[in-house]
Amino acid sequence: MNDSLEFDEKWQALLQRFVARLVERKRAMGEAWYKVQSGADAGGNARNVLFHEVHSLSGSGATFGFEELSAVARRLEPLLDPERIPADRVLGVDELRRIEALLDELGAEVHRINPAA
Amino acid sequence: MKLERVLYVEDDPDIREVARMSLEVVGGLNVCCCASGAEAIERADAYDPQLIVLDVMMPEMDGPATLSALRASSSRLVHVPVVFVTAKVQPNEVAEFLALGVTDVVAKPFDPMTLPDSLRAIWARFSCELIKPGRAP
Repeated sequence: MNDSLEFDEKWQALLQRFVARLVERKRAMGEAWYKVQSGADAGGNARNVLFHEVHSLSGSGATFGFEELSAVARRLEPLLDPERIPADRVLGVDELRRIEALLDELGAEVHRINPAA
Repeated sequence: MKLERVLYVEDDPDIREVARMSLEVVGGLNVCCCASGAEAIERADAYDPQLIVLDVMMPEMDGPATLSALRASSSRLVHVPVVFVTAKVQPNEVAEFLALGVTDVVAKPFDPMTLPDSLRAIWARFSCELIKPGRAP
């Protein structure tokens, strides 16, 4: 098999896996967000889960050609970044609204890429 | 000397696989992929990399922490060039990374078709610097 063909085949397999996994990732973000916004995230663990999913989408989305997905995730990332917002700090109403709006945008983008998500 | 062995540390499984495919299939390089700084520290000395590539933002041990732990873990890793892969590529951010002893920074997202050439260019530049008179190894 020549390198170009091998690359194309592997690329398609990785792309399909990335798109398929969006279903599970959106669900995980939804669960984490529910805990964050309902005040059931005392240790900041759910916010951390949310941050890592968003950070991961920010990096990997554009790698697979989904620039808009990365762009939305990049705007959301600093609002959840534990280096900027300590886990023990309670998020204000305005912060929660901004995060929710961007999560909705991110969710819509995920759904556009994979309608099953 | 030719660049052959690259240690690549990236926590995101999708990006890790893209990097592996890029470096192996497109670049014809031998790659040791690690999912965390801890795994890199465990495997690096035996693998004896010529170049180390680190994602900056990783849970538990980030790129800078992994860099200093790798340097401290083995005397033969002290002078191995390290490249950071990150979306943080503003001039002040890059300057901070270079101040840590990083050889260069590659912007994320990277193009899998050109990543091997970018790393080879960094490697070639580093090798040229090494053979300049008066430069410590």
